[in-house]
Amino acid sequence: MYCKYGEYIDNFLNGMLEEQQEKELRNHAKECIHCAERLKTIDKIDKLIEKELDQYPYRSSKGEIMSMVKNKKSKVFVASVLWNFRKYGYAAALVFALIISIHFLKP
Amino acid sequence: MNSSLDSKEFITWDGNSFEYIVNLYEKRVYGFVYHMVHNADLAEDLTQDVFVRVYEKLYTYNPEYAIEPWLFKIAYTITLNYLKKNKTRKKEVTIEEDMFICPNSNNSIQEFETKHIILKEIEAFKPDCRAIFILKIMEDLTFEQIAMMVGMSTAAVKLKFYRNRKVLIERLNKSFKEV
Repeated sequence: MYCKYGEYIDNFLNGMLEEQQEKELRNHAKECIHCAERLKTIDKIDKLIEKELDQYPYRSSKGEIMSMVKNKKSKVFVASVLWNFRKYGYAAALVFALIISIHFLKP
Repeated sequence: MNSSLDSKEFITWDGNSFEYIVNLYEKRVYGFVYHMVHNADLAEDLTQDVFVRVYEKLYTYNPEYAIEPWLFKIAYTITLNYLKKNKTRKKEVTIEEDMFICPNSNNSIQEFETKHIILKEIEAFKPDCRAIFILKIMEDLTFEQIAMMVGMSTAAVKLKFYRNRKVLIERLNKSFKEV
């Protein structure tokens, strides 16, 4: 059966349907069995995919993670201090470069 | 609904903040990695690598922004690097293995078949497309956030997501009709 809203469903599948058009399509589906069936199938499969992706075997390895990072504490602390003072480092490098260039540009 | 870290309460780098992040995000990161590699042991190892990297780089995180894109970018990079280094085609997971993965669920055989089709199809996507698909559905990140994470334009990410979703919907629909 031909229905002009079939194009809307294709666009809906391709992520090209505006919010207003989707509302229009869903309203239309209340009266059109053909479109309602297609939309129902898409919604059902979407929910199914979401549900399946939400199921996986899981065992926390927090203990392992915490013991792995234990030895990195001092290294990360130094890196974080350097990171926090990087702007002062840039400023110092700039001043240094200026002094050097003034020194060499002197007649 | 996933719980999220309020970035304003996370101010500076310290061990407590890290433990808080592990508590809040370990399962979600594991879920993402698991669906990327489809192997529980490997996903566990890679999740540990992700959090070690998070610990090492936590001081570079800007709390003014949401933590999820930053965190999942690390997970994406580590997983993708692993997949690039280990390109050899691994054996296909059978339906029996899928049933074994969640042995306590009350799913019927037909539900396991559907699950198997979905996971097999997602596994067949290219790794970057798979990551986009999983991040959008599981984490509900915006296309803009995902685009920044994977280094693509928003339009490209959107296109890849909808193209793969359409393929999956069509294949599942076909298999439902066959049953």
